[in-house]
Amino acid sequence: MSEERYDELMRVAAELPREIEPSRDLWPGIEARIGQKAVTEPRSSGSWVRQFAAAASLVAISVLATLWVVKENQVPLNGWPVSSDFRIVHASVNQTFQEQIQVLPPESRIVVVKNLADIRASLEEIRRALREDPGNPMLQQLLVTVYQQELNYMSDISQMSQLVPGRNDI
Amino acid sequence: MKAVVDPERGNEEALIQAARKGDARAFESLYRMHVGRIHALCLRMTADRQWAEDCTQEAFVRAWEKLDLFEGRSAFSTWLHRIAINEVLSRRRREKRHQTHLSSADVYEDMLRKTGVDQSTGLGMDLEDAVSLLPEGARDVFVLCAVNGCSHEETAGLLGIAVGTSKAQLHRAKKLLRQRLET
Repeated sequence: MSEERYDELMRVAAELPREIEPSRDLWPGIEARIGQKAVTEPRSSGSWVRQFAAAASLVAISVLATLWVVKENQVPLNGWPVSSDFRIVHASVNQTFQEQIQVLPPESRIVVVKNLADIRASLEEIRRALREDPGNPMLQQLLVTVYQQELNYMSDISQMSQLVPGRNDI
Repeated sequence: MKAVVDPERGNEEALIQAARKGDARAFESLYRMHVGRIHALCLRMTADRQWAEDCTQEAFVRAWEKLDLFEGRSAFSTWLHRIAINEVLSRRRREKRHQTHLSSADVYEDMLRKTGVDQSTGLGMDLEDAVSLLPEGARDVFVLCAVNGCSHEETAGLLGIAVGTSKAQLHRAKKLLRQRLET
């Protein structure tokens, strides 16, 4: 058997489809198995408002107090050390934001994503300046302020997206 | 209509985080993103549609249970593949259903000698069918190396075998496939 024939066999094998759907939807069976442990969150605005209020109050308490004052348990966020509490809040707000922008019309989503990218570009500029001048109190304060703006923006957009009528609401 | 899934990695990471917190809808989106590949792998390894679907379902249940252990050091799809492979291998050990298929090269080669009839036209047997008739060890390695593009090191790690064994099984698989496809 020549190597060429083996190579041909490998080439044909590599071109076989990587995805083959099951003959039936397996999700109902999986859902039934995991159902008891899952926390299937209702998407009603009332529930979301409570979550948002809790997150917002946590942000208000945590951000300024912990971002710079508490130096222990610092973890990186986008390559910059912040308190672990802040990172948790940031992750939570960001996750909600990522979920909620999916319901926005595509053209609005583009604008929102661009605006957030602008804020994050500002954050990166400030972090770059702080690397050169770590003790600069103005830069530190500016970083805290823009972090707060980022969180506020994500929270506001998430709240607004709740007002967008869904397919079932029309 | 099924959930619309954004395949971007950032979205996948958000879904993983949400699923970790118990969001079954997020996990359903992950399931819909990956079920085709996981099922293809299970189907080729088991050569049994029902068994493949059982393994696929079980793999996703295990993934849900182990989500906290996913550290992101490898891609989520790689992590899922590993769980699915482990499920297929452990089922083989637990059950004997695979014995309905050919379980050794000797039996397979004997079949070739006895039947040796090309039931299709022109190019011989379809490669997928030929792969399904390979002995398990050769089939596993062929599916991972030749179809899924894994290296011998990766294949050996996934199957819990030596690298040399992986190379030997691939050679064996290619030899058997060529024989079958050329009959």
